[in-house]
Amino acid sequence: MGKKKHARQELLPGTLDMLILKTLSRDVMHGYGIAEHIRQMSDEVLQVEEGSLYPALQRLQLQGLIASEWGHSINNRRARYYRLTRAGRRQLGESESSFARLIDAITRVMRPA
Amino acid sequence: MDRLGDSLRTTFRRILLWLRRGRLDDDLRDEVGLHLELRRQALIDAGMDAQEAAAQAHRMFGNATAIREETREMWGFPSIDTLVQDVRYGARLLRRSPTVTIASIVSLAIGIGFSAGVFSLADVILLQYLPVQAPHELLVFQWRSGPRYPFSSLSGTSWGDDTTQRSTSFSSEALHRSRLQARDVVEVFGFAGLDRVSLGVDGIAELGEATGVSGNYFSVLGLVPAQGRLLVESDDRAEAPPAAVITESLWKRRFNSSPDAIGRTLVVNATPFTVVGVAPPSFRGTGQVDDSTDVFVPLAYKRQIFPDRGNPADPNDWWVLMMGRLKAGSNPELARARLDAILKQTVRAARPDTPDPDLPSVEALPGGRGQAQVRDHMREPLKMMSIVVAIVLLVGCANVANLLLARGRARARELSVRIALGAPRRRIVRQLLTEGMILAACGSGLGLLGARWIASALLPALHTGPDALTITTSLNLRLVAFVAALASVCVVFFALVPALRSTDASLVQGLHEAGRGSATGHRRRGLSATLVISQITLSMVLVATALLLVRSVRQLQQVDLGFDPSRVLTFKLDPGLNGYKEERVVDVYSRILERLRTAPGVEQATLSNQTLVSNSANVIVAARTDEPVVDRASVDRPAFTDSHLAWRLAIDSHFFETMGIRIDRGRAVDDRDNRASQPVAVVNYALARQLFNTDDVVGRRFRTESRSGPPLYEIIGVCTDAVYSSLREAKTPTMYVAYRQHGAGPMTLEVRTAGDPAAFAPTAREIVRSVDPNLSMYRVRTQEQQIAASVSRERLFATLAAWLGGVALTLSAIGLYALLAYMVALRTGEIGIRMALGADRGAVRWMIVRQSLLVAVCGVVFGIAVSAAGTDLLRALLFNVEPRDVATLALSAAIIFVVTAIAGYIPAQRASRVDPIIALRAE
Repeated sequence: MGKKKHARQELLPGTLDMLILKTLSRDVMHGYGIAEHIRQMSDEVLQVEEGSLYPALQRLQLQGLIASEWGHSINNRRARYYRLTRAGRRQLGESESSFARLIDAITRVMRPA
Repeated sequence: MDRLGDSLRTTFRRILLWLRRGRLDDDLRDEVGLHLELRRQALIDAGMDAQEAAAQAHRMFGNATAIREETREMWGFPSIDTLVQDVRYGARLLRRSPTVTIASIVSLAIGIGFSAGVFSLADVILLQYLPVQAPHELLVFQWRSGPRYPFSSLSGTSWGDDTTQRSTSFSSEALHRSRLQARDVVEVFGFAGLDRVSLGVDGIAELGEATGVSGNYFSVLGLVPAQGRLLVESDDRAEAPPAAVITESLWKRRFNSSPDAIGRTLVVNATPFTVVGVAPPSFRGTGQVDDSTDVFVPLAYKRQIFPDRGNPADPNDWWVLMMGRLKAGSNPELARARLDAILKQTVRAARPDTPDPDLPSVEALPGGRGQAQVRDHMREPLKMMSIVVAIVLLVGCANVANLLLARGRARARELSVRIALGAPRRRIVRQLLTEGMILAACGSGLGLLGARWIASALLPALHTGPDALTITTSLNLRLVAFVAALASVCVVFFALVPALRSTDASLVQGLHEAGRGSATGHRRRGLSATLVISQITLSMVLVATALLLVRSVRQLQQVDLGFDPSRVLTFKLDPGLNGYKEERVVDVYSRILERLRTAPGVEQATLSNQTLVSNSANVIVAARTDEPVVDRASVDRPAFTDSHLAWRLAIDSHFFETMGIRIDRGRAVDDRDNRASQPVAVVNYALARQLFNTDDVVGRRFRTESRSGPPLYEIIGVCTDAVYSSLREAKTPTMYVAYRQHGAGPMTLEVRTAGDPAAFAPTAREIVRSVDPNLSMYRVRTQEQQIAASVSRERLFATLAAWLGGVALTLSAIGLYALLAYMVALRTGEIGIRMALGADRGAVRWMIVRQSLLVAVCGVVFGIAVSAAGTDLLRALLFNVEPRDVATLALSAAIIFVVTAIAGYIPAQRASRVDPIIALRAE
């Protein structure tokens, strides 16, 4: 257990929102699904403290970037499904390109000339 | 633009979320529950055992409570949430100390209630606009002239001094011309209170008030009828079928608010009018605030309603009031100048010999509130009332401030702990202010409930006229806004200062302070002491005022009347309203008096043209025949008038017996004195000496200057001095003249009974009806009630001041008690040491009582200074009492000392019972 913890990577500040938006850009999902998707897609490197997902979802919803509705999960329990709104999609595009620029810049600094 | 839209949308979403936050909480719990369940399931599927899986799921999720908290914060307006939290917390704390809370709320409710009551009166009397279209466009016209009158008779209001006359009455000629010739700048309309009329419906007559209006009156005001139609131009002609518009109150009273009233007949005096409509409910005419009208009739019908009052079209008879609505593009000065020219023209035409400087000039005043002279009368008493209630409100606020301050001390430790735990000071001040606002809100609510009742109780103090003033005050937006503003000011006064003070203490000190007279402790006590001293100062002012007013009323009640008011019933009759000619009126009076005199239980009966002690009198100029006539325009005129005033009362036979006034020389007026015989007068000693410097005046003659009555009188008797119009004017030079020689208008009948005079009223009513069924009695009172009513304003002010003085004093006593009790608690240790070192209980007790006396002395000294500064306001209300009356001030001071001593004794007693051992152990 302790070993595994070292392998985990803390998220860069401000990137959680982008990851959520990206995740939702493919599919409508509930909270657990989003967390699970991020974990799996990053080969379990990106470790979201799962609870912090929910305030982020609320915040995005308040900003009108995502919307939600209630439905039923596979095991037939009441679940809230989130989807990207048009504003969310636009926001995702902006975040992606600015993030790409950031990564690019950092990479150039870090790679010896 | 886009950002604004975004933020609006976000705000909207937040409001929705906040409103649904209970639901959202449940949703979030479900969501988190599902998450944990799915994770647990996933872990079990991966081979973990069930118990371990649940724990691991929780670990992976993190602190669920903190996360829910964080989410919830995002939903709400943090300010709303904290406000709600503050209010809840505040309410809980307030509930925990009910005595302080109730005392504070009651203090505020009294102060705010009285302020709101006075405000709603001021609102109706001084501020409210007429309920008509665009009232700010209206103008009221009046005129000003030199000392020479530009008319031969005037009815309405006139006022002025020796050099100028002012009035709002114009001739109908002036109205007619103004309507025609000023049309392009101002739409002029006219109206006139036609006074008491008899109103007959289905053969039953009642007295009421009628207002005559010009044909354009309702259309210029822009009013809409409640029923039927309003009067129009074509109604205002003498040959038009008589049409009347009734007010809502008459409609309700006489027609049961039935729509069938339209088309029915209303007999005004002797003229049958057809009711064509009902005026809008809130409209009570454009006259004085105390006017209450029952019916509007066309001005053209004045002559027919009052055939005996001369020709209304006479340009020398001024009786109609003028207002106007400005035309678009015009201005008040333009309208004034035009009407000024028109008025001068009509006066020149009617009185060609008037020199130019004596021509009246027109003044235009804002007319949105209607005619305003009565309002001016009420301004002074309103001011006085406002001051008194402001004092009570201040004392109340000071009290609440003190209570909160004391509680702030008790909470010092709690507040320090909260500050130590990181609560910003701002947050705590806000918490304390919220508590203040809760108190103010409760106090305002109670105060608002009481305001209307208080307003109607205070109303009689504003108005001294013969009839009760009916003003309806209502709970309107202005009143609520006023109370809210007042409450906010109060909160700042009583809550902000204690809040700042309570949070001022440095952390360490607050946690350590056992309050052994540290520097801050002194400062806070200083603030409390200042508050208590100002309370006592204000209480002293009120108590002294109340005592002065009470003494003044006592003085008034002890005035030697010079007649005997006991067992006398008075009532008024006005047979002239039925259209009777003078001889018939005299005949009706004679027959009624005859039957009254022979009725069982009646000792004597008479009549007079004024009710005694009703604050109204007929004052004229009387002079010896050998004295030169002093012209009105002469500079000597004012001095001449002042030294030759005579109060004239027209009476019938048996007046002196009925009222118990002694005739010392000559004879009384009797039935021999009629139209055909020499005009006679009985004078009192005061008039005899004023005219002839001797009591031996029977048989002498004197002349009078008056627009009515005979110019020359022969003195037939001398009577003792008696009060005529007012208790404040004892022994006025008075002449009693025969009413048959003077004109028989409305009269007051006086009946001296053997038993209870009030019990005789039904019999009197029967007798009046048996003589003439069309006659109605009005203003039925015993003479003693009449006298009491004549000083009702003084009495009401005295009662008000006494009550409020008592309230203020009680509040101050509570404040002082709280302060001393706190000081005793604070000094328990010190007292313990003193007693351990041998101080006896008496010395300890004295130590505390001395404190309270010191505060009282300061309060009394300041109070005397403040009262002395405010005496001019009071002087007008006082009778035979000097505002700086030493005995009264001494008595007030004594009352203050006694009350403060009592307030101080209880804490002193407690201090003297301190057990040194317990006190020292507590250290």
